[in-house]
Amino acid sequence: MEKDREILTGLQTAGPGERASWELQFYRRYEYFIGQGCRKYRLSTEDSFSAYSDALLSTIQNIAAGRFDGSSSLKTYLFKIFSNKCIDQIRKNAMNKAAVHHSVASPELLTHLSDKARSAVEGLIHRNKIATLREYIGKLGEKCRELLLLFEDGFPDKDIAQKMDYNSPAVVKTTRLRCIERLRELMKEALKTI
Amino acid sequence: MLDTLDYIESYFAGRCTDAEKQQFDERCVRDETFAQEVALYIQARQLLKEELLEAKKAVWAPGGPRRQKTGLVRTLYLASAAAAVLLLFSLYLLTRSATPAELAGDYIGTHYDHLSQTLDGTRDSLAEGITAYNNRAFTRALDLFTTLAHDHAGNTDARLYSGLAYLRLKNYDQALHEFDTLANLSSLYSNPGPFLKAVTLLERNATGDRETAREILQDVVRRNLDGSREAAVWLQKF
Repeated sequence: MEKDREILTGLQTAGPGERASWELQFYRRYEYFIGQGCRKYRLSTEDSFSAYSDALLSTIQNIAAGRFDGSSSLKTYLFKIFSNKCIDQIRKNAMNKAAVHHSVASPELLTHLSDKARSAVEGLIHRNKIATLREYIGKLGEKCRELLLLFEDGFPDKDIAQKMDYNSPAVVKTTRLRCIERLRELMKEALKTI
Repeated sequence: MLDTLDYIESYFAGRCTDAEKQQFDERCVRDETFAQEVALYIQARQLLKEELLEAKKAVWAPGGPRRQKTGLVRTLYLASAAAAVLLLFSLYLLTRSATPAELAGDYIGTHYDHLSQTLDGTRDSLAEGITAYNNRAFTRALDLFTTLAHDHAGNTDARLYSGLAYLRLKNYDQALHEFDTLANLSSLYSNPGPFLKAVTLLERNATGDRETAREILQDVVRRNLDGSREAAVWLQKF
């Protein structure tokens, strides 16, 4: 428990340069969940590893964003997310058996929408094509890629500005929106041809 | 377009009021072009998440996850690990240097925990003493053995058992006296006196006892007296 508190504080307070070591400690502390995923959900080691990594990333982002309220222990919180990710992985594997292209799990952002809005948007999402689009991130250029990944990792614009030597958080925000817009354009073109 | 993106991003970052969220949701339902923009934004973010996850996985587990032991493999792994620990512990017990007192205690516990009962009806006191000894009534046994040894000076068994009873009562000085007397009897074909004297010294473990015991054990080995086999092994551990 003491170690969990230490990790929690590290993840809550560390900037982009320092968080990696806390993440690694967190990963190793509950790495045995991967074995539990194999036994409990009959996943392959690779799939259980993916589910565990995904769960860990979500947990870290929730902690960094202040969404972890501490009402359950860090272990319980992580395991609950991990269990859901294992079930997602089972569904994904079942879908992939029937599909030509490998798909990704249902995007988490969809859960933010109301039921009606989700139905309207979900039909427009090409889940079975997302996995084939990762190469387009490379076409954005290294600076754009780094900025977007820091944003996706949950760091605020202030921290990103400091790490990437931007003049202000406002510049980071404008640059980020331009980068996303560029990615969307690339994807839009790609989706027409796939 | 950046304004639209900013609007979409604000919604997903949780920066909108409830009224603004409701407007956003309704717009997704009635405005297909806007819904397309939202869908594209979600896909872009999902793509970034996949990319981020792959980058994290490469840092957290370079070369892939460590093999997880499952089912039978795990059971076998645990069983062999337990066996290895047991083996190492046994080897440790066998090879570690036992203390002199432990060597002596183990020997007495193994060889003289129980005395063989005599069937000679003429030696009732000795038989009674042996019974008392085997019942752990060492003081009673000692009374019987010492009386017998006093009355029959030639009774070497009474002398031996007196020494052992003293030893069990941790009266080392008297035990040494009895074993010394026994050791000096040249009439015995097989005399455990010297070896038991060494055992008593090792168990007492007072200053100089260990060195004296070593000398006695060396003599036991050299003269091939009772206990010479144990003495040879013990000397290697000194």
